[in-house]
Amino acid sequence: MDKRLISFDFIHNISSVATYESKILLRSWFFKIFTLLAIGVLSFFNVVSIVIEDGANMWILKAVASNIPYINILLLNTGQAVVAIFLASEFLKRDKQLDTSEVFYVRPLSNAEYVFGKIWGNLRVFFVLSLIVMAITMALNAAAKGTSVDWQAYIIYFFLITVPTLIFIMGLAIFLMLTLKNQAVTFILLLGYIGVTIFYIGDSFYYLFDYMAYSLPLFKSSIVGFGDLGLIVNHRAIYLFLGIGFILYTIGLFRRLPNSAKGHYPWMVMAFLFFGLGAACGYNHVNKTLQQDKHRARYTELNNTYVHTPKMVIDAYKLTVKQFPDSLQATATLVGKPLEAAQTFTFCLNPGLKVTEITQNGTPLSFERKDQILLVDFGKELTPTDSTTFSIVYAGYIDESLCYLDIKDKELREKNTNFLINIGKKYSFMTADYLMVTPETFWYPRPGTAYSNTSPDWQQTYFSQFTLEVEPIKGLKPISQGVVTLDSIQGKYTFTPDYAAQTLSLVIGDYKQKEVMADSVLYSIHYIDGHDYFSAPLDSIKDTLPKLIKNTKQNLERQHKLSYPFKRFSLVEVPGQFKGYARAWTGAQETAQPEMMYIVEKGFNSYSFDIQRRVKNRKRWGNWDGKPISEKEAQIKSFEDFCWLFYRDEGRFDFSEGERGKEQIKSTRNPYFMFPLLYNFRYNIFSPDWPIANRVVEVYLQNKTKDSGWERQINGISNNEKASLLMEHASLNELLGDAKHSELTDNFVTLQGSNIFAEAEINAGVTLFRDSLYRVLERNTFKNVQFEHLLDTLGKIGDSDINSFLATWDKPTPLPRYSITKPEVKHIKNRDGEAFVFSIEISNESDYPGVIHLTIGSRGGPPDPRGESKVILKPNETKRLVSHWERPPSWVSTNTLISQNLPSFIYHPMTKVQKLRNVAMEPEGEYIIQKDFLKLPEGEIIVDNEDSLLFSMSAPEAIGILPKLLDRVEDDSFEYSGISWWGAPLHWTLTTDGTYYGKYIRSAYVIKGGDGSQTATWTVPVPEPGRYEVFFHLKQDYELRWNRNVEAEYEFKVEYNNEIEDAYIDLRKAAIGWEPIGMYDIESDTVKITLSNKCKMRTVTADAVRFVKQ
Amino acid sequence: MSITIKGLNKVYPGGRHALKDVDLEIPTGMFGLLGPNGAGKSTLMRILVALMEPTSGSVDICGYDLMKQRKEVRAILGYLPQDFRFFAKYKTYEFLDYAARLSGMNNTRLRKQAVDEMLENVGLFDVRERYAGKLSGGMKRRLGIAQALIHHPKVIIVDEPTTGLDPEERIRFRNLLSTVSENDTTIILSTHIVGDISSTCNKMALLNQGEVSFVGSPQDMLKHAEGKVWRIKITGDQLHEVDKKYPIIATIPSGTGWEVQVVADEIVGYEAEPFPPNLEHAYVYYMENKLNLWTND
Repeated sequence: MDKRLISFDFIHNISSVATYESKILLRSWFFKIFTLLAIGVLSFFNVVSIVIEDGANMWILKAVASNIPYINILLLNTGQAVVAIFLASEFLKRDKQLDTSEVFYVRPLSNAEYVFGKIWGNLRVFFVLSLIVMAITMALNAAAKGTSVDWQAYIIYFFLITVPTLIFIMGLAIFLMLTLKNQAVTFILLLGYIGVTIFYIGDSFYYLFDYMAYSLPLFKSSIVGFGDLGLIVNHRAIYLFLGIGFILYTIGLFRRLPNSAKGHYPWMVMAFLFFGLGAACGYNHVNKTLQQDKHRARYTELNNTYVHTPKMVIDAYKLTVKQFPDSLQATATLVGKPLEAAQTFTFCLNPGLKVTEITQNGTPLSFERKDQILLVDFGKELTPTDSTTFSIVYAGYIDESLCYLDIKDKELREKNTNFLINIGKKYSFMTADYLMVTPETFWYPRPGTAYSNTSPDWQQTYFSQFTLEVEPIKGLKPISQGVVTLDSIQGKYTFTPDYAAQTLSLVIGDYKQKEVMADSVLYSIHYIDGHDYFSAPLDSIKDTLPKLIKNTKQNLERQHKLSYPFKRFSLVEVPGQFKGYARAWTGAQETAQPEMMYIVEKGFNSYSFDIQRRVKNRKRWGNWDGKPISEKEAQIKSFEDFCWLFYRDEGRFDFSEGERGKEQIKSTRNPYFMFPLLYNFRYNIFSPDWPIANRVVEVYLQNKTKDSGWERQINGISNNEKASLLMEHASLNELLGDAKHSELTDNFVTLQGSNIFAEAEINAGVTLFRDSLYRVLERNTFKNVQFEHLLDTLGKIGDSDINSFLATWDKPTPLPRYSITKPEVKHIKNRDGEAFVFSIEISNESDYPGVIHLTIGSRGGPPDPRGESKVILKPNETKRLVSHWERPPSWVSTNTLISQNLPSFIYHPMTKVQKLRNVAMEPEGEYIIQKDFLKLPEGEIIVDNEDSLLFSMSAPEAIGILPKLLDRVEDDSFEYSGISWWGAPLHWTLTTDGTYYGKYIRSAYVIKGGDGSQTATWTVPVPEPGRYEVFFHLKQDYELRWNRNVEAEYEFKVEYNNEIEDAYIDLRKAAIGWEPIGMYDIESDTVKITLSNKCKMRTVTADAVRFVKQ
Repeated sequence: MSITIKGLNKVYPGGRHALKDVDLEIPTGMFGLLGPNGAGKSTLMRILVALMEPTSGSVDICGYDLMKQRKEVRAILGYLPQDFRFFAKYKTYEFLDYAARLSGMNNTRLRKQAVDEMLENVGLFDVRERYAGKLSGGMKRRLGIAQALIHHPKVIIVDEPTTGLDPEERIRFRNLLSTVSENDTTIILSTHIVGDISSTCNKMALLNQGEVSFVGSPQDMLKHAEGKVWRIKITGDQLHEVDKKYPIIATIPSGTGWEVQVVADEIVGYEAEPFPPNLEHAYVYYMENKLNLWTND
């Protein structure tokens, strides 16, 4: 190495080589085309997504301006990474081939100067391209309306994404090229590496391998900036250092004699130094995550240790908080009553907050701190009748590892992305100008412990009276629950909730407020200064807003039969990284707090918040429909659209394709669902044994046993059905504790909840029982109610020992199965009067008792409260249900709840009404009858696809490795799948639907229409020779509706009497249900019906065949 | 001495001994390195320009030890490789500018001036904007020598520079080198074309099978062939016979027969008259008689 490493010559030589290397790159067609494509595609993307108002208009980009450079640089970076590989390997190849290179090798420059120059020459062209793209993007960004330009983000993302990626990939490319000495192999290896890291490794291993920054949470909030800049910089440093290491190593390996005899050694040493640095950053990255896991495990373990130690109920809190940049200082004065007699009581406080002093009446109390656990020794035994007041002084920051200990690591690490924007997850914020602490952070001492995985005792929350005094950093404004007063001299705000609350939250920021009074509630929007994007698009309805809000509120109250209990409702804008999780025991996420809802900045992740576009769309749709609407009407409708956000139970739907043709959809709970404000923050039903107590009542009131039809259709099985099938093998507690089934938590709770209330509902009437429950709850607003006591009260109303049903939750639930006959309606007129007589027969064909939910509906008029009913069926019991109606029932739905039946929910339309005169009406009631549902009429045989002995399918065709690789198989333990109609399954795939044939399981096998190589065969035993009519069970194929020209014919082969005959069904002419295949004189004892997949339709369905003796 | 080579050996990994104990003293001026193809000329050249490491031996170039002071050696070297045809996508003047920059000519204005001058000297100024790859063979060679000269090196090494050039280009090229050699510069001209050396070099070496078999002036070389070159007049039938007996240097048709020039100590059986030798005759005589390498089969 040269003695003066960084000398003028050094720079000059590098610059010389770089200048001419850049020239070559700029003159290559490959690069020219890439440049044009990159600029063209990204400019087009920007024009469409942010500039043209009627284009794609991506709210996620416009709402948070830093996302514009983020997405552009991320996309450009991917292209550049691929091109850079090619070019980097190309330059070495070229050097090897050209003799003219030798005339440069003989110059006095060093190998380092040459290699650096070459790499810098390439890099700077890419950098310049990035800068050009960024400049164009910035110009388009500036031209776009309704967004701002975050110029800092452009620079930061360039350094965070582009620089490390290019240095790494170029370094790696030339390193491999020099080692492997083959451009093609190097290129294939590197492309493979890119493919594997993007498509296969992805964010595994804590996104350690994410050199292109796809999985790194690089979202930059306009409120707090990056979520964890330290982590980001460390991660990027891994690749920067490794890249530099590779480059230095290349200098050592370079095939040109160094200027001095051992000139390459220092570079090798430096290379290893940089490899070491990269590895250290990698270790640091992984270690940080592992440490978090470790902390979480330790915190949970500590909670387990102290979960049964003596606790207090806190009647009143007085919290005094002073905000500092990156920390807070607080004094909490608590008025508590012991739950049991003891001297030392357990509290939980975030481990980042250090307690300095605890006093009681001015006397210091001794205390012990173990991470989050705070053990306060009161010096003498306190009994449950002793009310004691004491103060805890503490200060520090929030350790987010304590949050969501109940959520599995996998779910915590799951990326929080939206359209390539990796948002990251934060549960608390403390920056120089922003603070956010929610109850999940334990930012003030709360009695007991945080999450324990050994006992649900930790969950007990109680209502307390809070007073919060906040001294924010000058110029900032705090927001919390309750009435706020400002002491402008001291700059202190005091919040006094006029109700008892379970918990309290606090945000401090540069907030502005817009408010409106409606229906005695003060509605506010607290937004960060400069983020008022909503006033202008709603300016015409300023005066109408109170009325609209009132309507929304009343609709919500009507929908849930619960009143809004607070005097204020606020939407509070918080940083985009803020994330809450759905919990098993509550419908409330951390986004919902008493009297307020936290909305991530400008609601960037949901189009619901793009008010301006909504208004435009509303007007446009009006014009399309030929009913133009005024600006005001458009604004009203848009506001109503926006409010819809708070009605919805489910939020985002995630579609995923499993194995080809099998489709899945998962929905996540809507974090802005309003129900928690009506229910969870108002009622507190607790149980020492059942942490899900509050949730049981909550989901029962929301009546969630009915499955969403379309979601079920896509998945082939509903979550309730999945839950039901799983409950046969495990107890409720086991299922709730199994992370594999976490998305079914609600379904377990829902089904078990409906089960325990069934008897009471039957006795009191479903609607009446529910109404009684509402009334009982209403009496207990802002009070703690013990679950078991509540069940006692409800049991009295419903004349049922509901508590006794809780015992069944400890065991697996055996599943009954039911046969249900086709419902009938008779319109009977006789001397006694006139009525529509409805009847249905249901048989429990198992050895276990069960409950069925029946809903009878009719067209027009208000719903009849008698329409909802539940029927208990004992083992092997058959009931005939008869009811009289003034209006003709037009449909009935049966929900077999916890059962083997699939689908559990079946809708039976009733279009035919038999008219009868002067016949006796069958009296109303539930009749136990003797009927063998299993027995078919004489001479009739049905073979269904569920019959494993008599139904068989051809062996699946071998599928190539590539399709297998591309269709990544998702492990789903359920044998029933949804069918994707646009990518039909290549194998016979089992699915269920109410319109298929089946005794308990209405299922069928579906396959892609093809060449006839795949078959399904029903082998039918014929009891006696004779003439039979053969039928095939058909479900309506929706393809017939939209694909009007397709030849729709099923091909069968009927093998009987040692002969094979062809048979066909023309689906266009066929009836839904049992469609005749033909009439056959059968001598043999078995008949084989074979359906082939030779069909022009997208799918062929194999369900059931039926033989009827003539 | 400008360049001193002592005990230089090069054994390739395959075991081929390309240079065997080469000792050479190369003074200032034009030095010709003559030898048949595969004699080790290019290996020696590549070692001298620090593109290759010798297996053993030492080289001193203008007082610098080539093994230890490559940077200094490279600073005073100009090199034109044998196969100078394939270019990266540079324009003629850019190629030269790049070479100048890498040789430490940092001042932009002076460098530009030097590049233009050099382009004028080698007659490429008019095609300065043309891509180097698009130049004719002769122009490429001239560009090659231009890049070797651009930084006024003390030692210039040119490997087979005139191969493939037409006579006019070849003469022009030789003249160019002669002009440069007048400026206290050492030029090593490696070639298998005797004419290149006879017209330019005042000292030369003959390399054969990796060994130096002759060192001296071209005149010394000529002395070896004096009285050994003959002109024979023969008929067409005899031509084949003579060709088998003696190395024929030239064959000129004359009337009914041939007039051939051969190299031999004596001629028996033919009508022969002595002919004044040139360096080419001397080279053939040397290879034939001193080294017994000549073969006309």
